[in-house]
Amino acid sequence: MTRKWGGWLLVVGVILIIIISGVLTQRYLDRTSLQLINQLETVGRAVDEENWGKSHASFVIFKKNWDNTSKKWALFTDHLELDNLEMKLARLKENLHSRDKNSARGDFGEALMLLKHIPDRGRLTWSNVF
Amino acid sequence: MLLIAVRAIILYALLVVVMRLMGKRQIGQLQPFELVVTIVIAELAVIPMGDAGIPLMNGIIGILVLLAAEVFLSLVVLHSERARAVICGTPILVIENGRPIPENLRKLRLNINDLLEQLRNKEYPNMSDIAYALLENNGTLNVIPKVDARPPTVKDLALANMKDPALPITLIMDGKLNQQNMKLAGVTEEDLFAQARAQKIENPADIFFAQYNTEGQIDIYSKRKDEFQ
Repeated sequence: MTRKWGGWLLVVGVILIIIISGVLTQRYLDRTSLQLINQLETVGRAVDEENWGKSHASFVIFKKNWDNTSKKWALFTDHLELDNLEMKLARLKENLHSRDKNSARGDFGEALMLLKHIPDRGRLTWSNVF
Repeated sequence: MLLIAVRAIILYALLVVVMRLMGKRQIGQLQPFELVVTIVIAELAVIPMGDAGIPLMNGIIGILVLLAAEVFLSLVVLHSERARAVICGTPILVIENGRPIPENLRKLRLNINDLLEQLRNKEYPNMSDIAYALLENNGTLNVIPKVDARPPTVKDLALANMKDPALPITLIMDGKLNQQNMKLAGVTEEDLFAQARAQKIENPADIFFAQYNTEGQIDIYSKRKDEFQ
């Protein structure tokens, strides 16, 4: 029985593992990116209000969460995209420190775009497949 | 993850279809231009398979273009003898009447050790036993031995009453009866099952494999374990 069905069970098992882990991974990416986007938007709003104390405090909270999450994202997303986001965040931090609103807004916009883009890149959609 | 899996399946399916369309020669002995296509096609498939950042179309279009180019060259080679010589090359004689031909070996950059190794692989340790040896376009060495070095044939032995072999035809495969092949072999179900009963296989469903062999007999193999021992 096991010998007869062993090959089929292996194929079905591998397919199920890929489908289940793929769905769970995408859900995890969506959930964590949404959290990170909300936190980063708080930073953006504080920059708009030129509330530098709040923007710095919000950025510290966001960065702590990002440092935790990025290690897990590195398991299933493109490392180059993560490095790009890291660079934008480093520039954002410096611009918050020097209270340069225009540059900070620019870095915030780029970082936000990358945060939304990374989970979208692995999503199973027609445009991504082809 | 799912994205990579789906892209891999699409490219795999495309490669299976493309290799099938390229024909049987593509999987067996390759001509130089076919070898090039096979190597490049593998590369074209692997890169977009692993990198979701590269459009799948880049790989698909490249593979389809190579399919068209390969089929086109095959047709050219099929219809033009001159093109065949240019694209595939011509077989080159490397041994004649038991002696190597040094200028041809030099042209092929084939050293005598490699030649001797290939001859030993074909169970001809002595070069003097060989009438002709040709290096074919696909890189295989074909040997025509001298008359005193070749194994005797039925014609040499002048055996009487020898018949040409019949076409071997599979009648039952994996327990399934093939009606078309039964007709082709001119075997009826009654004949087949009578033969099975003669081999103590009472139930036709117990037949694993049955073949009409080259001698015009029916060989039957049972699904029962003891039959294989």
